[in-house]
Amino acid sequence: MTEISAATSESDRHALEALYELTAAVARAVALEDVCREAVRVIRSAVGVDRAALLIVDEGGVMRFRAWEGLSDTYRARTEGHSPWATDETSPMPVVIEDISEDESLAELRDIVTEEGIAALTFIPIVGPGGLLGKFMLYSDSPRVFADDELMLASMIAASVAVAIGRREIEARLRASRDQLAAIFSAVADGITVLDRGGRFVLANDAAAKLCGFEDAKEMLSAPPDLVIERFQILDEDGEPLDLDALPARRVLAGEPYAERVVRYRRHGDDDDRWSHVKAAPVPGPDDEPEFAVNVFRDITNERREHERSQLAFTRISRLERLADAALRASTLDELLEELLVVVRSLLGSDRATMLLLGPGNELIARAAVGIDPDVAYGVRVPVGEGIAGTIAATRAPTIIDDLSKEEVVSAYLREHGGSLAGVPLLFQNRLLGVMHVSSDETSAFDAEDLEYLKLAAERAAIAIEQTRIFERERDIAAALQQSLLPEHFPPLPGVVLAASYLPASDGARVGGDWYDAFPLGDGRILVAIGDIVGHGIQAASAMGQVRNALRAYANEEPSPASIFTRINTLLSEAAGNLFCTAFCGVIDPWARTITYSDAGHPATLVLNPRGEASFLEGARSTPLGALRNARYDEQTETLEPGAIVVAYTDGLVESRREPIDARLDALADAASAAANLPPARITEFVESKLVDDGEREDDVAMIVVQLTASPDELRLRLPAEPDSLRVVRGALDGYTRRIGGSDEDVLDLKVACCEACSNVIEHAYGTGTGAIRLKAAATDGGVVISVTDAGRWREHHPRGASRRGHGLTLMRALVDDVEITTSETAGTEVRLFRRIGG
Amino acid sequence: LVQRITLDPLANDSVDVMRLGGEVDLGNSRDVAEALLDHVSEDSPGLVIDLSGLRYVDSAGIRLFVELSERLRRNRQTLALAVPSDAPIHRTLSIVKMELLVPVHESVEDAVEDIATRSDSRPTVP
Repeated sequence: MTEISAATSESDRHALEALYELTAAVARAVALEDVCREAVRVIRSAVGVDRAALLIVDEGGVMRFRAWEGLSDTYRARTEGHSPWATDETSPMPVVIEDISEDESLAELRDIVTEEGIAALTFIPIVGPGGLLGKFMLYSDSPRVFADDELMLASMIAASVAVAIGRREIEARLRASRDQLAAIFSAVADGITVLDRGGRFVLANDAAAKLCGFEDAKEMLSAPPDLVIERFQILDEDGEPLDLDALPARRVLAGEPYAERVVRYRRHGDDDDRWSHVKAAPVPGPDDEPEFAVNVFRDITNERREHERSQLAFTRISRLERLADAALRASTLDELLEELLVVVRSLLGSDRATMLLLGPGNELIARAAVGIDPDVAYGVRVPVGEGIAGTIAATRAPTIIDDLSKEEVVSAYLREHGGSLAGVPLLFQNRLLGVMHVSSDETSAFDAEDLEYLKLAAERAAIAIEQTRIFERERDIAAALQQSLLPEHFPPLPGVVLAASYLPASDGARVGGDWYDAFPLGDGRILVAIGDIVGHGIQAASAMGQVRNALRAYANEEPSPASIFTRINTLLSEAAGNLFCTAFCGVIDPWARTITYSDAGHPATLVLNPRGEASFLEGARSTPLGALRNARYDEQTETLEPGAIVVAYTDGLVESRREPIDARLDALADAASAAANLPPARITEFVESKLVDDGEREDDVAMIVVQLTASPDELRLRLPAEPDSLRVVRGALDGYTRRIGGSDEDVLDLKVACCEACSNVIEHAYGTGTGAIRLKAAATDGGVVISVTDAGRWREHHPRGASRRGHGLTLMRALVDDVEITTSETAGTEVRLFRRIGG
Repeated sequence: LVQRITLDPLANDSVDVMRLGGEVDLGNSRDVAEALLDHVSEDSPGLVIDLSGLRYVDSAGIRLFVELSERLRRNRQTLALAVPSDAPIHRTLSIVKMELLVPVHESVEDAVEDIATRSDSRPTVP
C-alpha cells in the first residue's frame, strides 16, 4: 500500500467518522440549528471543499441560508433564494458546475460568484418524503471535478439533515395537537386518564385526579400506580370484588378493541359505595399492539342510586307481571289503559269507563275513557277529597253509588247522565296512583261481584302504570345525562329568537351523540351549530363535550365556519380513537341578514322565508369531521329575508326505515312550512309531533331553530350599559347601514358617532349598577336617524379629568350632519344623530 | 391576552415599533395601553405605533394615545404614531387634530426618524 492511498483512506475514515457523528447527533434529537452547523462542518471536511453552506426552504417556499462557512454577508444576501430546481421537483439531482467561467447555466450569478472568489460549485439537494427541503452548497476556489463517491457522501449527509428537518416538523405538529387536546381534556367534567402497557398513568386530567381522591393531576401522576389502585376496593355492579383484569383499561391493553363497564368502588376507610361508568379505548403503538389505553370515567353515583331504587320496584313488578293477562300487554300506556277499559266496560255491561290519574297539585286528571266523547272526558280534573272520584281517592274505599242524582258530582258528564257508578282506587304498594270507575245510565246497575272484578282490573292497571313510570324515569335519567351537556335555555340575543330541543332515542338507556350549541360572537352575530357524533372509541357523550369546547375555543379565535371545521377536523383526525362527527355550523348576522355556513356531512339545514316557503342550504358541503385527515371545508353565504327561520336538525328527525329520505325531507319541509307562523319553541314541538314517532324512535333527535326578529325597516337594540355592548352596536350598525345603501365611509362614520353616544351612557352607568342603552336607527329620506337613549344625563365633562368627553362630541358633530341632545328629568337623555347616506 | 386586537413588534434598531391592528374602544383601551407599555424597552428613545391596520378607534382610543404619550414622556421617551392617509382611522384622528396632541406621521420610517432626531437633541441626564 502506498503512502498516498493510506492518506486517502485516512481521510475517508475521518469523513465516515464525521458522518457517524452527524447521524448520532440527528438521532439524539439535537436542535435543528446545531445539526445544520455540524452538517456544514462535516460536509466541508468530508468532501474537502473550501467553503460550504446549508439552505432550507422556508414557509414561503424560498431557500434560506441556515448555516455556512467561508461566505460573506453580501454573497449570501445576493444569492439567497436561488435554486437550480423547481420547487415542485420530485426527484432533484445534484448539479455540478466545475468551472463557473465556462458555464452558461449560472450566467446571471457569475459576477457575484466570481467576486466572492469562487470558481466551482455544486448543489446537493436535501429531499424529504414530501419533496425538496433544501440544499447543500459546496464551493471551491479553483475549478474542480467532483468524483461520484464525493457526491454520494454529500448526498448521504443531506439525507441525515432531511431526517432532522422532517422530525422537527412532525414534532411541531405533535406539540400543537397535544396542546389542543390538553386544553380540551382539562375542560371536560369527565375523568380522563391514559395508561401505558405497564399500567402506569402517563396522563390524567384534574377531574380524574379529583375522582381518585387527589388534589390535582400532577399529584396523581407522581403517585405510584399501585398506590392509586390500593386506595380503593374495586367491586362489580352487584358489590362483589372485581378482578382488576376486568377493568376496561386492562381489557383494551390486553387486546380488546373497546371496553366499558360500570365499576363500583369504595375508598378504604369510607362506608359509602360510589359508581363510575368507565370506558376505555386502545391507542396502537408502532407494532400495532395497544401501547396506551385511554380511559374515560364519569361519576354516576347519583344516577345509580336512583336506578337501584327503581330496579327494586321493577323486580317486584315483574313477578306480578307474569300473572298478568297477556292480552293486557300493549305497546304504550295509553293503549293499555284504553284496552283495559274496553274489557271492563263490556264485562260489567256499563255505558262508560274512566281512568283518572293522580297529577300534580293533588288533583285527579282523566287519562283514559271509553263511551264518552274524548273532548269531554280528557279535560276533567277532580281535586282529591271532592266529588265521587275525589272521595274514592281520599278514602281508598271501593264504592258503589246506586243513584248519582243524589250525590255531589264534579264531572259534567256524570251529572248529565245520572244513573249509577262503581269506582275503585288504583293502588301500588299502598301508594295512590288514581281512580278507575264505570258508570251506567241505569240506577243500581252494579253489585259487589262487579266491584271485585273492578278491583282486579285496577290492580293490573296500577302495575302497568307504575312500570311505565319507571321506564319513563330511566329514560329521563339518560336524557338528563345528555342534556346536562346541552344548553337548555339561550340568553336573549338581540335580533334573533332561539329555541332548541333534544329527544333521546326511545330505547331509553342508550345515550346518543347529538349535540347543539348557539352563542353570540360579541359583534352582533350569532354562531349556531348542531352535530351528531358517530363511531366508537371514547364514547359519544364525552366526545360531544370535547367537540363543543373546541368549537367555542376556535370560534373565539376566528369565527369562520370553514376555519372552525378545518381545525376540529385536524383535532379529531389526530386524536386517539376512531370518532367522527357530522355537523352544521352557521354564523348568522341578523343585521346584514345573512348566514355564512359550512356543512360537514350533515343533513341540509332548512330555511323558511316569511311566506312559509321552505328551502335547504345545500352549499359548502364536505365530509364529516374527523373522517378524512386533509378534508377541505368551505363556507357559503346566503341572504335571509326579514323574519326568516333557520331550522337545523340531526338525522334522527328525517331517517326512517320505512320511507325514502327524499320523502322524509319533503315531510320536514311541509311540517316546517305549516309551523312557520309559530314562535321557534313551538316550531320544534310541531315539527317533532309530525315527524317523530314517539313509540319507536331509533335514534336521538336534536333541533335548533333561529328566527330573525330584527325589523326590516329599522334597527332597535336594547343592550346592557357595558363596554362589551359597543361591539354589538357596531356589528348591528354595519349590517343595517350597508343594507340601506351606506358606503364604507358611511358605515365607519356612523359607527364612531354612535359608539361615542353609547360610550357616554356606559361610562356614566359605571358604579351606578345596571343600566341599559336603547338604540334605534331608521332610514329616512336620503339618510338615517339614530337615537341613543339612557336614563341619565349627558355628561360633557368627566369628573376624573378635563373634558374627557370633549373628543366624543367633536367626533359626533364632525361625522354626522346633525346632533341633538335632549335631557329630561323623566325620560333621561336622548342623543339623536342624523346623517345623509349615499349622497 | 387583549381581546380583538393584534400587536406585532416590527424590527427596528433604534426605536421600539409596534403594529396595532383590530378595534380599540372603551372595552379594551386600558388593556391595549398596558400591552403597548410592556413592549417599550427601558433604553429605547420611544415608541412608534403603526396604525395603518387599525380598523376602528374612537375617543377612548384617542385618550389612550394621549395618556400613553404622557406616561412615556415622564420616562423621557417619545410616542409617535404612523397613520398613512389611506388608513381606515385617518379621518377620525384628523377630526380631533391628533397631531397637536401626539406626533403623527405618514409612515413608520418618518415616525422613527422623528423620534431619533428628538432623542439626539434630548438633554442628557447627568
